[in-house]
Amino acid sequence: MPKSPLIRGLIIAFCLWHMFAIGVYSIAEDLEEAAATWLNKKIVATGHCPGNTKPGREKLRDKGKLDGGEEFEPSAFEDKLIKAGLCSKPIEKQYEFKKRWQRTIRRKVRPYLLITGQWQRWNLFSPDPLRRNSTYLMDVEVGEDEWRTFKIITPNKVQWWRRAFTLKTMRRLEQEDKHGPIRDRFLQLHCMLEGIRPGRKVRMRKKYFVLEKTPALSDPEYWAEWEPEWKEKPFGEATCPETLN
Amino acid sequence: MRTLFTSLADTWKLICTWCGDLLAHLRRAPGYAQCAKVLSILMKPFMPIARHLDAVFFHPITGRGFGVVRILWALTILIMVGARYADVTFLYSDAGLLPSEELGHLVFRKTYRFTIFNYIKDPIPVYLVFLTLMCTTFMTLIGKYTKLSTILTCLLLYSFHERNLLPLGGGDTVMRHVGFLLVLCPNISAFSVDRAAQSWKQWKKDRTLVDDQFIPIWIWRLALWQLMVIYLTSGWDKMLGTMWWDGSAPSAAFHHIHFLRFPMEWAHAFSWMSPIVARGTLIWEMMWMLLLIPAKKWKGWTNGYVTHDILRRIAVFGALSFHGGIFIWMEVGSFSPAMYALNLCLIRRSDIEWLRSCFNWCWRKKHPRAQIHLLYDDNCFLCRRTAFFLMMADWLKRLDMVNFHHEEKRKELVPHISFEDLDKAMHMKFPDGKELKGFDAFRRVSWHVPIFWPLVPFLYIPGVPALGHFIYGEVAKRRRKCTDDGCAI
Repeated sequence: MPKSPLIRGLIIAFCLWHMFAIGVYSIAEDLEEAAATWLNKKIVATGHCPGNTKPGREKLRDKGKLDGGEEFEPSAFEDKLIKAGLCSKPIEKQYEFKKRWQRTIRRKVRPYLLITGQWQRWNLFSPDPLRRNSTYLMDVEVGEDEWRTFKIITPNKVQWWRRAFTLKTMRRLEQEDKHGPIRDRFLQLHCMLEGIRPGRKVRMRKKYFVLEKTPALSDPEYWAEWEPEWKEKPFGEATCPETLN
Repeated sequence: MRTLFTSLADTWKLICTWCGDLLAHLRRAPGYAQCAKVLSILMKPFMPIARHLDAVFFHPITGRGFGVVRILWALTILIMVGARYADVTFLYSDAGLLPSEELGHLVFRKTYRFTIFNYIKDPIPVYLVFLTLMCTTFMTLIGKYTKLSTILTCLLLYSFHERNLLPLGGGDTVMRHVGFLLVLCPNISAFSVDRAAQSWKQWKKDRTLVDDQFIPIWIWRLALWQLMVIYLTSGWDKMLGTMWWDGSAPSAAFHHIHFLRFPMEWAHAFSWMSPIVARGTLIWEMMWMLLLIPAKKWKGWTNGYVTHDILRRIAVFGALSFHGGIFIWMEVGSFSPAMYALNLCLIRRSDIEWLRSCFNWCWRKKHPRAQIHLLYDDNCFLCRRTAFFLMMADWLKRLDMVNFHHEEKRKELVPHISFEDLDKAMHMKFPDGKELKGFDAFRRVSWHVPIFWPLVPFLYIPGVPALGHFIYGEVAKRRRKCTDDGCAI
C-alpha cells in the first residue's frame, strides 16, 4: 500500500479518469440513441423525420397520427434537454449533437482507451438479437454457368473449438460491404487449400433464413409448425490465382 | 528461458527501485519542504474531500479474489486462444486472410494502434509469438514470475487482437479488460507457485504460513465499475429494442444456428422460458445500478437488513447464473468464462468467510470448535512437505498439524499410541474420537479438503484401498531418504 500522498493522489486521479473514460466511451452512442428514441414519438408526429423507422413511428402510423401535422410542443423539461443540445426538434440536429459529442468528450478519451485496449461497446444481442441464420457455401465453376460446391461452412462442419471465431469471422465478412477484397482473398486462399486450377472462378454464397420478429417465438406451439424459409444470395466471387503473396 | 525471466524480473525490480530513489531525491531537493508547505496551505480546503477519496480508494481488501481471477483468466486464454493453434497462420500472418500491406487498411485502425505484428509478419515467426503467448499464459496460470508473465501475456494478447479484429467477440474484449486489471493490481500472487515458495520458506522456519495479502480497494472499484458499465449499457441497449420487452429475444438467440449447442428441438421445447429469461435479464442488468448507492445509505434505508455486501452477492450470483446458462446453452466462445473471471474480481474477504461458513455449517453444528489433529513426523522432509501441502489446501480450516515429537501434545492427544507406531504412519484423530492412520486417514481427510473432493469417489472403488495401503506403506518405509534436495525412493 503506497504511503506517499502524492502517489495515492495520482492513483485516485488515474482511477477517476479511467472510470470516466470507459463510462463516456460506452454510453456515448446509447445516450444519443436514447435521446432520439425518447423524443421520437413527438418528433415523428410533426413529420420532421421522413424515413425514420423507430418503433415510435410505427405505433403512431398505426394510430393514424403521422400525417396529422400537429406542432411539436415540448414540455419545460424537454425544452431544457433541447437547449442543452441533447435532442433537437428537427431530426438532423441530433446528428449535430452526435458530432459535437464525438468531437469533444469522446475524442478526448479515445486515445487512452485505444492504446490500453479498453475500447468497448456492449450491444450484445441488443437492441434485438440477430435473427438472420446463415450458412456459407463455396462453389467452383465447372462449366458454362455450372457450379460445384467444394466447401460448406456450417456450425456442425466446424470443430467445436474453432466454431466461435470461424463463424464470427464469416458473419463479419458477410455483413460489411467494405470487406469485399477480404472475401476475395478468403476465396483465393481456399483455391490454394483445395488445389483448384488457376484461372477458375470461385464464388461464395450464403444460405440463410430469418426468424420472424414476433412474440410467438416464445410459444412452443409456434415452433411445432415452424419451417425455416431458406433463401440464397451470392456475396463474393474471385478467380483462382497462380500464386498468392 | 529461466535466465530470461529472471533478468526481466530483475529489470522490473530495478525500475521500481529507481522510481523509489527518484522520489526520495525529490524529497531531499532544496525547496521541497517549502513547496510542500505552500501546497498543504493551498490544499487545506480540499482536505476533507481528499480524505474521503483516500478512504474510498485505499481501504485494504484481500488479494485472494484477484489470485482466482488470474488463474481463470489464464486458463481461458490457454483454452480459447490455444484453440486457434491450427489457424494462426491464416488469421495472423501476412500469408493468411489479412496481409497488412494490401488489406490491412480495411480492418486496422489508423491511429493509436500497437501490435508486435507490425514487425513480425511471416508465418513461422508469428507462430513462435503464439507459442510464446502460450508459455507466458501457462506461467501466469501457475504463478511463476507472476507479475512479469501477466504483463507479457497481456501485451501479446493485445497484439493478437489488434492484428486481426475480424474474429474478435465480446469475450475477447472482456479478456483484455481483465488482463488490464491484473496488470494494474498491486498483488496477484495469491494461489501461485511464487507464493507457495514464500510460504514454504516460512513453514520451514516457524511452521506457519504467510499471512493473507492485502491490496488497496481501488482495483476492486475499477472492476466493479467495469461490470456496471457492461451490464448497464447492455441492459439499456436491450431496452431500446422490442424483442426483449415482448420476451421473444432469448428464444431467438437460443434458436440461432451459430450459437446453438443442442438440437433445435430442445430450443423449441424450452421456448416457453423465454419471457421469464428476458424480463429476469433486464431486471438483473439494471439492478447493477443499485450498487452506485453508497453502503451507508443502503444500511440506513433498509434498517441494516439489506447491506451492500448482500446486494453485491445477489448481483454476482445473478451474473454467475446468467453466464453459466449462456455457457450451457450457447456456443459464444470465451464470453462466459471471461465474464466469470471479471465477476470473481469482486470477491471480498467477507465473501470467502461466508462461503466457508456455508460449507462448514454441518461440521460446526456437530463439532463447534473441534479440529482434526494430524500427527506427523517433523524430522522427515516428506512428512513436513505433506503437512505443509495439507495446511495450504485446508481451505475449510479444519486441520491441526501436530508434530508427534512434541511429547506434551502427543500425550495429550494420543497417550495410548506408542511413538514407534506413530513413526510408522501418519495418524489422525477426528473430533468424534476416531483414530485412523495411513491410507485410511488420507481417505477420510480428503472429505475435509476441497482440493481432494474430485478424488473421493475413486478412493472407495474396490481394489483402490488395497493399492493405496501398499503405495502408502512403500512410501512410508522410504520416507527418510528424502531431503530438501529431493528423494531417493
